[in-house]
Amino acid sequence: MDHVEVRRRTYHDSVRLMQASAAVQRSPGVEMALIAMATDLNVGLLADLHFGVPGDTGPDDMVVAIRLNREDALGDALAALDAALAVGPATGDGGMFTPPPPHLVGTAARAAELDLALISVPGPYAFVEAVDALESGLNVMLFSDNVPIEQEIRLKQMGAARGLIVMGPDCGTAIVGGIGLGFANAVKPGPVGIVGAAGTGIQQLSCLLDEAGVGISHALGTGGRDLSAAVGAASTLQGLEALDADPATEVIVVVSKPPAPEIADAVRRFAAEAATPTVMCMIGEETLEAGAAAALGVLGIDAPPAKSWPAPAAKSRGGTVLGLFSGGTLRDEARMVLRHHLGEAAEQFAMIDFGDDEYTRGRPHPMIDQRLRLDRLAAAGDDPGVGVALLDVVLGYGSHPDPASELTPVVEEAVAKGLAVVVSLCGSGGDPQGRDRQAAALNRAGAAVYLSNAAAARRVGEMREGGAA
Amino acid sequence: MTTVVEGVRFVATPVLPAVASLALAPVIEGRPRPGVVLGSADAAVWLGIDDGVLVIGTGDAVRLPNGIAVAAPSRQRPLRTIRHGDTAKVGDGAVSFPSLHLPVVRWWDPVPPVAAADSGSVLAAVASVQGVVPVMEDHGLRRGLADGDDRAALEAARSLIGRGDGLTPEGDDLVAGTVAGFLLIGRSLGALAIAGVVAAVEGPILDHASRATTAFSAALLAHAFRGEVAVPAAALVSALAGWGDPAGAARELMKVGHSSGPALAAGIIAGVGAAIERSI
Amino acid sequence: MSSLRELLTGEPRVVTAGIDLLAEGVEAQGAEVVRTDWRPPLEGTDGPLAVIASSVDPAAANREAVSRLVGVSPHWTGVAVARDVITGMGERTFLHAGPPLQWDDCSGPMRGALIGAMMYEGLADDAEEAVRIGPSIELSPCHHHGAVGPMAGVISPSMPVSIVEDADGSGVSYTTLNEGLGKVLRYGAFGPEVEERLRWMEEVLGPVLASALERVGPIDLKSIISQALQMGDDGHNRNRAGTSLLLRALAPGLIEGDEAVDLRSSVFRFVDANDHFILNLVMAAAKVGVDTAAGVPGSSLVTVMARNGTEFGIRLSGTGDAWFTAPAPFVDGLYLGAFTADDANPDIGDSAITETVGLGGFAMAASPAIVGFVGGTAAGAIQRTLSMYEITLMEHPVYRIPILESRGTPTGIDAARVVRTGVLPVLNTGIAGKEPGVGMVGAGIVEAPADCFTAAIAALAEEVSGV
Repeated sequence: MDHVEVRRRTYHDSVRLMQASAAVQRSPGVEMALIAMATDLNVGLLADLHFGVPGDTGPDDMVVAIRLNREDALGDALAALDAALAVGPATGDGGMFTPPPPHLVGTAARAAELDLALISVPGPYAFVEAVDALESGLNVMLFSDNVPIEQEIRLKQMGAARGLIVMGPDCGTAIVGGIGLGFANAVKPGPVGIVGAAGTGIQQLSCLLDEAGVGISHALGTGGRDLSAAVGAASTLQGLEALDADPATEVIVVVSKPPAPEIADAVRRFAAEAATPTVMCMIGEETLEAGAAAALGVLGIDAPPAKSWPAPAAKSRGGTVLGLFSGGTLRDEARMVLRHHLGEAAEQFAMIDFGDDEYTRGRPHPMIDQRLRLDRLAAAGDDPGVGVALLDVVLGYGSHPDPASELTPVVEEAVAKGLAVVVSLCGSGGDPQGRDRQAAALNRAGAAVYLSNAAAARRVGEMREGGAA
Repeated sequence: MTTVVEGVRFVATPVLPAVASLALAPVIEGRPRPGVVLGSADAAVWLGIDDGVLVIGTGDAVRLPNGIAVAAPSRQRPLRTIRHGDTAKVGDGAVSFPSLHLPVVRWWDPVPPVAAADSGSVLAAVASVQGVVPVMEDHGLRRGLADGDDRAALEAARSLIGRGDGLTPEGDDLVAGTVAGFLLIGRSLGALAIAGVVAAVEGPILDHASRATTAFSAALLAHAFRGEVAVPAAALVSALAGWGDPAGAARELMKVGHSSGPALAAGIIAGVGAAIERSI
Repeated sequence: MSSLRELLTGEPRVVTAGIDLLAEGVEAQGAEVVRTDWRPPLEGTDGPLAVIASSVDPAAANREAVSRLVGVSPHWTGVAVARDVITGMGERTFLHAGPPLQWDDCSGPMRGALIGAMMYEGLADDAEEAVRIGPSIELSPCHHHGAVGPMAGVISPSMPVSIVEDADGSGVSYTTLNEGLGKVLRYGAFGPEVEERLRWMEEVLGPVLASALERVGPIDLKSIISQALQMGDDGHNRNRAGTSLLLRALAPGLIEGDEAVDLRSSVFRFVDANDHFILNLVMAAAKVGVDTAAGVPGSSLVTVMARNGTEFGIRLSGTGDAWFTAPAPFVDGLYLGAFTADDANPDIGDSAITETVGLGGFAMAASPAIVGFVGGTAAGAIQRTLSMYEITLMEHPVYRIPILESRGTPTGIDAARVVRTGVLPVLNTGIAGKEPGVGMVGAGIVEAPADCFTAAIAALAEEVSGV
């Protein structure tokens, strides 16, 4: 039997709603559950699932749709829902003089001294919130994507006029004053500054440096479009200027996919005039590993290769290479390394980015929810045409709390069927997941594990050269 | 957080993520060692370990070079369950009390980032804090350091250390500020001889401190000799080298503690003056 | 306030809006983070809000508008006959509260008040005749003539009106003299009793007050209102302190007057018997402020909230004379005697202007005793005020709330913040009986309708993009 209820003007963010759906679904007697805001997309989804949704709902309303096996399971299911939706730690002392929690960044900025607004509301609303933050004198990290480019340009103009930086839109990673924002790894403070248009690129770079014993002063994200001709590298140049002036930063690394030539020139020119040595690391042209080594070189440090956990030698069953990545940056780097190693043969490999729009519609990002990837890996185990699977596991704040626990059973089974599995593990020693424990578990399950994505891809190249079919 | 399993209650120790000074990394990341709580207050807990004293502070307390901090402010009294005399374990990435577990998840650098500067701009920066920072009687410490006269500097330090009330006597803070200012701005000015002058007096001064003042204050002095200072003091040093507003940083430092802030500030200005002299 | 330079110095203080996971990440690193309880704006407003946010300096427009709003210095300077001072007052003109209204759409109390006024002016001999000629009289909102009136708010040509002027500017506004409670015109009563009182007000009350005012000089209303707030008034539904202070200010003028002593005495007793006498003047003082704040291009400041018993209307500073209306809501509250919600008329009156200048529902924390009247708890009253700060532009520089450590009242409603948060302005109000002449049946709290604000923001977006 179905239970459908609408809670008017009750808003929760998409991640919390997915977690709530999962929690209700785990409740005994529940066949399936979907808790979602009543956007057109979700209402359509509910209809497809044959839930009857009342007609007068809107995107401000929350729909609870539960399909039960037994009627008496409803009470527990709803209790599980309420527990999952309960907000984070209580703030304030309570009592009649405690103001209600602010709805707006501007309201929060009136009540306290703040430096940065981390905005992750859905794209159509992000601009207004970011303007509010800038008007209130706050720097902005705009995690939200689907923000029109005209709005990005306007925000960056407003920011520049106020001496504030706009990191984003679509900025998933930053490290400021030692605090990781968004998807970020736990690294120590140190002399390397990063300006990056690719979040995972920033993550891999900071982890490789941390592994070499060198810390990060600040990593400023710029968003994926900053280096386009239209935006003109506004945040990149602003970030470079600030890091150049920062006495704690002794070398700067710029990480990005190669931009338009005139933009690349502008950045190079700026870097050449800067007092601080600047390393350009263009993904697809050089590896992040090389970028890290160059930065270390400036500091006079010769770093040993990053740690790895080799897999027990087993005969490869031959077959193609399948890449299963949670983001485009490491996928693109791996593809470049494989091309370098294997030439044209590498063009045949399917290198999938599960963070791509077609896979993320209506589901959380693969760094949080690995189900699609795991299914594909299991299928690859059954497929004799696939010889090696290469996947990335990204640790740090914001990511899955224990990815190895979900991966190892699937890896074990696939390896038993003859698939070679190589894991590129992006993580630092201080990450909350316990990086070395994760690596050891994956290794025990049969995977070769590398902290450097480029090294992992090289290993795959070697395996293919060795056991080429 | 309590779970009941077959009538037996298991109470999980509360966990508060903590931030620590990088100077403590070897101790915190090393193998576990015991400690004992020497004192506790709303805003801080002092923990003695075999070779020093650490302070655990609340989010709004001043961050010291031998410090660990939790995010919650003192008015929430996050450290209230820790009592004088409690044993603790320090190492394996955490500080653990019977009633509270503090994993260290993040670090700050107690050595201020100091840009290369020239004596003219540093002099101008020092001039801009006149009127904000007091001048204190230092028994010739600044003179001794500026002249490279080890004995005079040591004599001066002996007169100052232990002089004053409180956990960190005013005299100690004056010496710490002077040494740190001298060392750090010396680096900024590129005066290589300064490190040597500091190194020559470090041993005797710290040796004297170990007998003449509180263990906590002696620990802070040792940090000062490595350029490791409280965060507001670090901000003043950075500002004198060109990063930030010196007068604003000086005002912030002056607010710290009862006499500590002013004494540290006075010491830093004196030490910076000595470094300028030495570098010319 | 921060800068990129300051951001890179020390530990950043972060506020989050959106996915809670990101706030948790900061906390897991041993840092405090401020969370906002963000939700999407009212439906359909995201587009207009983005247009307004990207226009030239809406924040500066709002700062200009709200500083004009609070910068006036309203004084009660005199009493005169409506037709002599109010522009556009023809012999068949009847001003009313709220947005524009047609005769056929009038609710009970409004119709009754118009009937009574027509009879008072001699346009009709009885109710039946008034109803017949009703469609032919000229109806116009008080607001269009620099005037305001509580409940039905009907002003007719012969009525005495108070004149309120800005001592620091050129603004002027007008309002009726408050009749008191019981069978009164503003609640829709008509007939001999009502007419008699209106005539007494025209012949005695008005002229005696006018000469008393001449003797004592202009009375500073801002000062009295600010003192009244310190004494537990809210400036809308609790006015005892304000009326008392007003009478104190007026008294020497009455005592020293040269009219017959029984006339001066009857005026004194009349004002003394009516706790709400000052209400009309508070409204007129507010009117001077909002008219001065009107017309700032690009400003989303709400200058008017008003109801005619059928519709609730608002105006914004940046959208000229446009009204944005929605059906007037029913009020949730406490009913007097045997009255129930079935007896209630929808919300009515220009008195919502008090909330647009940081009084009334917005100042409830200054008036805990009001909960006996409108319902709720004292703690709830304080919470109401606290929740209004989010949707207003400033804290009033003069109207302060003792229990909140003398914090200024939340002043200057920003329609953009209203639609972004979904937090609607809260009003304290009396409830009129739906049958004409029944009078007050209760009092309570009502929220301004969301649709007014969505429409207003859409219009402002069109306005700024046309520039």
